[in-house]
Amino acid sequence: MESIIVILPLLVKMGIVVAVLLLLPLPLTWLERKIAAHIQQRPGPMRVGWHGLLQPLADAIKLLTKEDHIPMDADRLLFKMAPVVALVPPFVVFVAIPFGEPVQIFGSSYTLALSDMNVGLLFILAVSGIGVFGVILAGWASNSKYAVLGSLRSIAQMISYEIPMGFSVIGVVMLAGSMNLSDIVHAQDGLWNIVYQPIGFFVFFVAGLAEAQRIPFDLPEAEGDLGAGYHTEYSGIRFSLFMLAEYVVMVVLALLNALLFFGGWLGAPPFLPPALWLLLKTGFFIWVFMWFRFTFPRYRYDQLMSIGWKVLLPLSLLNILISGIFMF
Amino acid sequence: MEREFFLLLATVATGSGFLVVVAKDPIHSALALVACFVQIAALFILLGAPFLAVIQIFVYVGAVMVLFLFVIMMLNVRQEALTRFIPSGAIAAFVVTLVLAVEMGLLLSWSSDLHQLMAPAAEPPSVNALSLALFQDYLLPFEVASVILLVALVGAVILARDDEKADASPRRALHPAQGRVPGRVATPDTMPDILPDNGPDTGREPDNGPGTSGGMRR
Repeated sequence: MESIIVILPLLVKMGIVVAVLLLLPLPLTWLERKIAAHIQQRPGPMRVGWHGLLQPLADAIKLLTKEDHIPMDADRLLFKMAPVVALVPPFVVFVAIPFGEPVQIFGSSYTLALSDMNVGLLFILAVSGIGVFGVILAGWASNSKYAVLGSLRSIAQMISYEIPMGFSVIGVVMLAGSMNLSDIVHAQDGLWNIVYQPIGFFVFFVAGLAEAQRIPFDLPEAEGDLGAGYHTEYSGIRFSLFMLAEYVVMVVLALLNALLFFGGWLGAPPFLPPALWLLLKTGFFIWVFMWFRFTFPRYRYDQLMSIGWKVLLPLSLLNILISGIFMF
Repeated sequence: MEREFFLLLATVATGSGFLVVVAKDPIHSALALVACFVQIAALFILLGAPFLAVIQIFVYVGAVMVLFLFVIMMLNVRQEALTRFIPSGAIAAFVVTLVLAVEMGLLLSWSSDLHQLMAPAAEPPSVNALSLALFQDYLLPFEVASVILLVALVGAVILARDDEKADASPRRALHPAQGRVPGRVATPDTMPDILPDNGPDTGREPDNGPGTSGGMRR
């Protein structure tokens, strides 16, 4: 009986997170297409529903009913596994993300996180690093040149940018004296970390763009030279799983930017619940990511590597040094 | 509850470890090893060491195995994986395995410390405690270990640089994946050279990369 009392809230929280994450790409694809359209001075999707609001639904139906094509000579088991492997890590990351202070319902207190673990930040970085396996498997199993090249690029890119990304948050951890995300948010009571850690934020943001493989760092799926990169051979529901994973990664990064550098749920105006305030900040970063996509050109491969190793990595080390000097 | 979890994780870990050895395709072996590492990370959590678990995932799954896969995809090792490393090495392998098994058995039956190691930590050690242990109590061993790692890193870079000098002949640029020791490819500094880049100013033929770099594995 006691275990049910412990497990039931966990299951409810898990259900809410998974349901929201599965449905979130629907409005996000609509938003992305609309932002693209308005930046390019055209209306975008207008036919299905009011201002194309039902367009994502139509797309989803189209993707789900399409033929599930597996190329000849593909490694069938890995080919089928890859989209799932790509999808799981971004969902697992949400285990460690807190959305607000513990709430009181019927006299008992519930935390707004699945597990407020003391190594939360490290857990998030580690698990989001696993996401690259889906890309590797997809590229390898497809038995296609474009897919292999795309996945090789993405491995090199993910490894290169994981390092500055990890280093850039060390300053934040130093300020908070903890790797627990709630503690990190509490440490920003008064002044947000963006004031103390502008370099850290810059490195984290750029490395995050590269980790999510968004423009200007979307070389693994550069449609101009690689077809579509690692998911060239995928169609139907498996392709939509990859798309889902990409959007969830974007949401994770936006959330992390808000939590680590912009005070999380702190400083909410009195009429807003703190969790909603955090989601508004997240939405802002998602919007910035989309805005970037239609503003910047793609970098060349050698430029990508030199930005990662010769600019971001030294900058993140400098940031640790400066933070250390100021704290001393 | 914990006992069932342990049994589940241990079974999957052993099973995937077995799969590492028997799988025909090196990629399958590597993936089984990934599964094994994840199970071991979960075991660390059961033992009350979440920090170790996360580091296990970070370093072994996120970095080491990704580089393994990178090298396997880069070099077409499918044929080499099927040929024997040492001719008629079965007997030697059996002897070594036997020695190791006996050693493990003796350790388990004689040592009393080993059982303490397997007990979960009384309280989950915090990151602060770990950092104090590393940077205060065991500062010298820690620094020595990091210097040794640094030396290994510099050594790898030097080996890779030698390769670059030999790059003067155009044939090398055409077949970036051939004639290299596998270990050298894994250093991040060589990654940009391996991949065919389409930059206009590199003077390298962009078309020859895909065919030689592992796209065709059958």
